[in-house]
Amino acid sequence: MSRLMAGSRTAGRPLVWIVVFAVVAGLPWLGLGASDLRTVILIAILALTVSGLNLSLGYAGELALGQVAVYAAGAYTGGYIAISVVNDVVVALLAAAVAALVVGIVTGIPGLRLGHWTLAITSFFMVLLIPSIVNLFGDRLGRYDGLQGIPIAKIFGHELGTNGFYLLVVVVAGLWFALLRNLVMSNFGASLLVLKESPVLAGAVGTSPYVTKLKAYAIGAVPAGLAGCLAAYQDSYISPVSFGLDLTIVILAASILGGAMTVYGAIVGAAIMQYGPLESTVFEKYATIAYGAFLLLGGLLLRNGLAGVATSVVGYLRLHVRHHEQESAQDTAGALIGLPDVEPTVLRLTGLTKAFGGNAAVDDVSFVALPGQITALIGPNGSGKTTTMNLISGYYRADRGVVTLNDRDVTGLPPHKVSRSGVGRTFQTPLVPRGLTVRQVLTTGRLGTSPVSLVATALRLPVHRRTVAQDHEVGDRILGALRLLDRADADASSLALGTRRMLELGRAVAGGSSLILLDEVASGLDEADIAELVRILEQVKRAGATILLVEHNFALVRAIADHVVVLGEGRVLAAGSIGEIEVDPAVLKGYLGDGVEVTGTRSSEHASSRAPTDITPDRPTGTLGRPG
Amino acid sequence: MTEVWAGLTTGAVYAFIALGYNVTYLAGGVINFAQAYFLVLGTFVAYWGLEQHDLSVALVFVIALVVAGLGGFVEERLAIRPLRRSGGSAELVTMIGFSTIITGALVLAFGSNAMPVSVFHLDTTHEAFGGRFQPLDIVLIAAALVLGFGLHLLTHRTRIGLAALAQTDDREAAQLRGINVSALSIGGFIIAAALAGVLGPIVVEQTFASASIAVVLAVKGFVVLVLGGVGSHRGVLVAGFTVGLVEAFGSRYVGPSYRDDLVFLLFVAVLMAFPNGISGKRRARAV
Repeated sequence: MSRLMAGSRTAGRPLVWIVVFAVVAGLPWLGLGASDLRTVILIAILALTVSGLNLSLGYAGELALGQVAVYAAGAYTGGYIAISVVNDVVVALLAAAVAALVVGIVTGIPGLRLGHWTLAITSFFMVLLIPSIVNLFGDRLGRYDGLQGIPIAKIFGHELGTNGFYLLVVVVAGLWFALLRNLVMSNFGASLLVLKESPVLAGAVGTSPYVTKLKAYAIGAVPAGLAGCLAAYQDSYISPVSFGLDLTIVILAASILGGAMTVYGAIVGAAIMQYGPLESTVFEKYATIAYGAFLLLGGLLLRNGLAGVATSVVGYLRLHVRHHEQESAQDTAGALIGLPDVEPTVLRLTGLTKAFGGNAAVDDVSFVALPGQITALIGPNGSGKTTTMNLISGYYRADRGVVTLNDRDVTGLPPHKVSRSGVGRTFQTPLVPRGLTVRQVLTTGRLGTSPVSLVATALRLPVHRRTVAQDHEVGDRILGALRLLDRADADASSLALGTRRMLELGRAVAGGSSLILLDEVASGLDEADIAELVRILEQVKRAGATILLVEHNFALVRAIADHVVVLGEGRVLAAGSIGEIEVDPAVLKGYLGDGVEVTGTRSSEHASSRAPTDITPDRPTGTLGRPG
Repeated sequence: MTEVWAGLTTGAVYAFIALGYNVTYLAGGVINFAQAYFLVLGTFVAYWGLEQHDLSVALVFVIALVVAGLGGFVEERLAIRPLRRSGGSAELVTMIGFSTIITGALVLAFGSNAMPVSVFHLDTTHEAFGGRFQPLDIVLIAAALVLGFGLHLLTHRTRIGLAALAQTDDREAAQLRGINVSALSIGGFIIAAALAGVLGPIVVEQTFASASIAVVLAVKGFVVLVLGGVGSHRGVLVAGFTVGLVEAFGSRYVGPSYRDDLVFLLFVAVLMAFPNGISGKRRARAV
């Protein structure tokens, strides 16, 4: 169950959080003692740092262990400014945030290029270098001895007392979590989950995997920098050795325990660590073992931390309460509403060639696909169908040849730019990100074409609201056409295969794409699903889209294709109408086989009602963008 | 020349870790983060057996092998296998957890100080090619070379090695061809861990028995692995010795406190220039 889903349903929730915030902020005046206030401050500081990790680990799916380096950058920047420049906590916080952002981007760039382990290790390597880098700055940062004498925080010349500083920390944390919530529950949050599902999918919906990752990582650095600055003021002393492995493990454990794919899980995780191993003397000797156990058990047993457990329980209850209300909403969505029209686009391939090693997978392929028509690309396994499609999408770079859309050259563009040029696609194995509703998945198809700046998203500016309204409207229209409107708020990844294929198709057209690439869209579908697919494809056609279909199901091709291109061993064997290619000797020999008429494919005048079934099982390996 | 000997010796230790990463990667598709921790476990077995209990060196090696191998078995069962299909960073998190438990247990049992252990009593100093070295340096360098080339032959010339290579390329297809990927995975973890355990007493005179070095070795080992190309034993040897030499000469000419910074710079520079490592082949996109 996801926070994104839960969030979209609960308009009343902000009020709850404002009350919680007010109570926490007022604790000193409600009589909480100094040591408890200190604990709350430490929880807030740790939670800020953890929330940054959650953004990259939980949402973007990249484990970065460099939060401590960023935190140190914030601490030293804040401390230095307070001591040597001006003691104003606002200035110090801003400077710390900027320093953190810079450190985040600089350390993120090399690791993010390769991702996964490389990011984890390069970012962690940075942590090991903290003392020596601090030493490089000379006496002004106190070298290995630490930076001493950070004054009591002032704000616009007024010294903040204990309660004042407490309030500052709570306000900073509260503001950050509000902004983070806005960022995560938005198209940006969805784009991170898309990336986490598969970088291939990220490209297909028009977002650059690298830039998206870098954004998540850089934004995640900001709260860690703020936390470092607040910690420097809190302790009035910074020691370079305090930023090490232990802190890294504490942050990671808090993230895993609280739930990395949540906004507020960071607070839960931080509170557990603060009340547990960090403070308790009982734990002292066993603290390291406890952290390790938290990581091991948390990683094994908690799918999304304690917050994930809570969300599942709440979601389960909701589902059962809402079940009865839902019934009446069925069947109102008709197929009368068509899809929005698109700009007619001619796809032209000229001499496209691609070899892997010495093996020419696609060899001098040329054909044209026209708007308002379904062009089927057929041929035996290994004939270069999917490679051709991946060349068009930009996942492979062609050795020779040109791909144009209405005479515009798109050869060699990266996938996200091809997608933004109006190319939508589906995958052999549907790629539906976990943690999104049906409507949200559909809307991710518009990520590339209707971007909103992060600032507008975080602050919920009018431009963000307009885009959301527009996404909603287009989404409803497409969901109506797909007959999925009644399931708009269901968890998309748990849908049946046929429904996920329809949803993928919807996502491919949602951004207004004029060229739709369908990779074995019918494989694994039953009769009813295929009839539904045919109906929707007709609608996409009527909207003026150019459809390129890779398909093994010859009966389906026969039923719906306006134009057929037959590939064999990477070359075009024949092209023409279904009637022409069916009698083509090269095709009979190379693909359909001489026994074609005996198999009964001729009797498919009633194909859509006669249930064309899949004649070739879906190849389980090598499918596009398998997660992992 | 003294730097050359010192660099090659340090490089050999890094190469041990990276070769261990290669073994679990080739056998199970997972890089075992705990590899360096098993090596450190081996150094503590040496401390326990030789300094605290006066056992024979041979027995210490056997104990280190068994303890670490057992650790590898437990780790695979506990931290890797249950997450086989979950992907992402889940395994990395549980492996870090497992490694942290090892560190915590070692600190609890032996404290956090670095403790010298003498195993071979070969602490004479010799001169060769104008530099000073100890016989143990030669042992370490030779062990790395033998291990690296041995693994290379094992991987490319034996059925089990080829099965492992097939498995890294396509796990499902390898399964369909009758390769028991599950046995391969657990076997890889046990062998790599046991190997690290045995290397513990060999490196301990160089590294001392110290719980805190494990994480440094884990990171440096990974740097070596990436520089050499994941899965390439010979590449890892070259990268290990290169990193060791950079550290040794960096300590001498830039300052001992900056040698890690130099390694990091080298690492980042190579990553930016050759995203697939020095000898890594450019793999077709996993599409």
